[in-house]
Amino acid sequence: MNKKKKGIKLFCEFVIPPMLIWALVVIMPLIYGIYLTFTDWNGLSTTYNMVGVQNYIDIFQDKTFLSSLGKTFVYVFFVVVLSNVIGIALAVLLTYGIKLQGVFRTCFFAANMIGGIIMGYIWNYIFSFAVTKVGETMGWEALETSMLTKPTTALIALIIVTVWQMSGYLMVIYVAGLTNISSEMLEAAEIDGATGTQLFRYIKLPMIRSSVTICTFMAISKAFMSFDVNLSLTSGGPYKSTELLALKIYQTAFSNFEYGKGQAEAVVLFIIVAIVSLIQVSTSKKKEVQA
Amino acid sequence: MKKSKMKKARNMRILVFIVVLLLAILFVMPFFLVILNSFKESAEFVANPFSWPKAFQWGNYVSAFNTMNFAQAFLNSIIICVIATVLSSVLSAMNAYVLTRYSSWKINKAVFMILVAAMVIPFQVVMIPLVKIYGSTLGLANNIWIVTFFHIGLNIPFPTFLYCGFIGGIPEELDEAALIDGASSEKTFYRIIYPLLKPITITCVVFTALSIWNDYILASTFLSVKEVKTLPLMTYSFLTTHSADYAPMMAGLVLMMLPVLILYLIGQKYIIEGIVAGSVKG
Amino acid sequence: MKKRWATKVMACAAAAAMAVSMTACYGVASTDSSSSSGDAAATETSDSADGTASEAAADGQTVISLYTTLPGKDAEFEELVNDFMAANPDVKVNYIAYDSSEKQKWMTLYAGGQAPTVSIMDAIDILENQESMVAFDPATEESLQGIDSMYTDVFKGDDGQIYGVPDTVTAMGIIYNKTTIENATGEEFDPSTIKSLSDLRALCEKIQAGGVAPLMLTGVDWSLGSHYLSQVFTGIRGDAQAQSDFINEIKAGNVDLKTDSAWNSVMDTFDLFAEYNYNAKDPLVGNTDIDGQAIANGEVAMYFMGDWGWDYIKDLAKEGDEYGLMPVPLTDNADDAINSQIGAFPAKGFCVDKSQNNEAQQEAGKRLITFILKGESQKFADLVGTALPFEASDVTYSNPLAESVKQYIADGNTYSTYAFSALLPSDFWSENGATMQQYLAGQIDRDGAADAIQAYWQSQN
Repeated sequence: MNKKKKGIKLFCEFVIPPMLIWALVVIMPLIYGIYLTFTDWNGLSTTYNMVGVQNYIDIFQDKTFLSSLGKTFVYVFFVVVLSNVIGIALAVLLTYGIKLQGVFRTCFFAANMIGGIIMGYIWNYIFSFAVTKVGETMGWEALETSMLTKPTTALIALIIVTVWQMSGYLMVIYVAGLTNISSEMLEAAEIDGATGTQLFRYIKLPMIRSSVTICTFMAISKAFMSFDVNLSLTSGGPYKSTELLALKIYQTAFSNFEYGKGQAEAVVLFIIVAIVSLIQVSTSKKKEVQA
Repeated sequence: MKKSKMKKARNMRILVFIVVLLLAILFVMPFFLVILNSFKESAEFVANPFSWPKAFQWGNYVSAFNTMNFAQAFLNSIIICVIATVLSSVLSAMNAYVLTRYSSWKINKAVFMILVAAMVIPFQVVMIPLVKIYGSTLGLANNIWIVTFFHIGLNIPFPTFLYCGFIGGIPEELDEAALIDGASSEKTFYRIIYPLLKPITITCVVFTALSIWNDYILASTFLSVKEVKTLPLMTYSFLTTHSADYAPMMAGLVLMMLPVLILYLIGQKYIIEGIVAGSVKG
Repeated sequence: MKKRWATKVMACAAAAAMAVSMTACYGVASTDSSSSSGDAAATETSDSADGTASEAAADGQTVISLYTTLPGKDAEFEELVNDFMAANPDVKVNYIAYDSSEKQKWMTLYAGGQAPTVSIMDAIDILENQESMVAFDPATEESLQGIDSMYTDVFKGDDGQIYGVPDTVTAMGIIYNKTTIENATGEEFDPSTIKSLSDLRALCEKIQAGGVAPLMLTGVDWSLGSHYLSQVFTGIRGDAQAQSDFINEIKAGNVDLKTDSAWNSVMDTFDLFAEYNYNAKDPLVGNTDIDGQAIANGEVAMYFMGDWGWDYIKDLAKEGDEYGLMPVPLTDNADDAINSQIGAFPAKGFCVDKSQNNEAQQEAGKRLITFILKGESQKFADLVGTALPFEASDVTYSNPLAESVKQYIADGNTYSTYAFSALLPSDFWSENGATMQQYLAGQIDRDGAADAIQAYWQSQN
């Protein structure tokens, strides 16, 4: 009884304040934002009309929205897989015990130190001019024209930049997971004659499974919401072929004066990300238990 | 036998070192270009981003400093970043403490689930409503304190999530011993538990501080007058229509990156430590 | 030690939390009573010190704001604003700089109750929000005096009222480097001799024979979709009324663009550009800095852009090189006047908000516009780098392309670009820019492009 009372007091003191701030900043605007999806507000005018679910109907009849959704899935798939694979690989290499390990870790994490929009501009320049210069000098035909001017290669470029940034972030978490594996266990396995690959497959990988869950979750939500690199690297081009969902939302809401519709698109994005990450977390939790 | 094995291990280590070195060079290439080109004239950069500067243009840094209104913008950035980071991590730690210690309570389970779900809300959904409510109705536009407040709120879920994993790994007996000694629950948290959270606190601080330091979109919606602008907003002073004043912009980026780099270098040891300890429980 | 560290953090945190809530209250209070004692300068410094730039001003001062969407000109605008405040001590102007997306910023300002008193925006953006804007009376409004109705017409709303004041007159066309052309061809170059597509083709062949790339396009959506393509809908159709009629017809589905002669002749010229394009190898790279460098270095002779393009060239232009702007020959008939005329249009316009600004503020805003445009003409001309929308004989332009435009205007050699400024919807450039890019990259043929553009118009109903 006493413990329960104490708990309630503690709940009021420790949980209510942060949750209240969070609710004021996230939940209240979220509710208001959902309300706005039922209006035809253009984002600027002082008046608007209620239009019911018309915005949602429009979205699903909008071919460009659906094709953007499709591209977003392709993008998210490659980003999640590649950044996790590279993140794990880097983490394995960086827990090997080589010299200057700390410096290297900083190098790989460095991509996260500059904001996405500026980073996109820099990469835009690299793809358009630095890479083509390399292609010209070396005579590699594939690199002589900019990757950003053809739909497929532009999407690849977008994936490269995102993976470049995200794998360093995930690496930090994987390094932590790997450092956590007791060295006795590894030594014991080594004495038993396990090879490097076996060590990785049977000891390291199962041990970092919970890191994989967290990292995949983070990669999925970040990739779905990826906006600033998209804006500054390709701005959806060439001819709108790389306009991912978050950028599409931005364009609808802010370039076309269709705020209500843009907001509705954002709500749809939220629901999609929530469903995908729910499936991911629950399946990987199951696997964790099995392992 | 043993010797050859050791030799093999050493060779392997050298190989790994070389691989990592090559990868690292590839990874930091863009930064190298930023730094290299921050010493050139804009035209030189446009002509060839790889060339060595003809003459080192330190003037770029001076002009970046002036164009960005650096002193003021830096101050604004620091105020927002430091206060929001500290408060969000303290509040998250308190939050996580109760959520983990009373994890059998239904309400705590619900709160935890909601927080995890909230991590996937796209900022665009709340952006304009936030401006309407706080900017228009309460008249708080161009106020760095309200931006700080938003950053605190936005940075509750992820740190709470990290703290929960970590606190779960701290044996409950520790709390109980303190309680038996007559300390209140609050005191137990501040005196016993909070200091133990240092590694994960530093992890949270680095992640949170980075996201706040580089935040562009939230700041741009609330801060429009020069006096209150933050550094990321000021980097836009270099962009002109369909073109940019590249060299000073690069210098500005270097100036912006330095504080983050320093923070990361200080925190690096603890970041890993924090996550290691955090993932004990997973 | 550790305990103390923790308590210290907590104490700081609590203090900061207090500070946040206190400032929040203070913020509300200060907007309620928007006057405080002390002179404006003192208030300004204290504002920045406590991290809020509230609208506090000296007693009786009217506080207004200016939002500009001309990036990279902040220092110049701030100087103009300071000059204005020195001349009008009863007004305090808050300058709001552009940061990334002009419309997003504009919308957040409106949503945040900070609607700028004066904004510089595209005509179409002003017209789409005319219910929030002040209508100007062309007969009495000082800033509109001397501005040709051709330029003010593009700011005319559905109700026939004028909602914007043109900031400058700018023109799209072919930028030529006279020196490069003459070096390549070995003959004197006179732009007025290029009166048809065939003339341009002949010139290109000569230039190419001289070892220089003749033409250049920047393969970005705004240049192709907004500028180049708009020529199908503007002067070639006739006056403003004819343009408006044509657009109504195409929206109604009564036009078959594929067989439309104007479309085909404008696209014939486009094909010539594509054929001789300096960027033909990778036409969609689209970097104006690189392209500016190419024409400055004499690697290419002519460039489809506009007089604003001087910005990309000026830093690299060689001493003594002569530049100018000439019309794009849109047909193959040398007798068509359109081929000797330039499509001049107001770049953007000043508008005054009435939805969140009171009458005193609106009046001060109008005064600010007049001050910038008429009072400080030379300074403003230097800032924008293009021609002012009225006759100002004492104003000189450092931009040689603006001088070209000024000459065409003075000679009456301009055609109406009404549709470009006032009838093309906000998303026209991005939607049809994508189509034009596909066409330039060879992904679709001319009929495919015509179909896509026609479908775009029909979806506008």
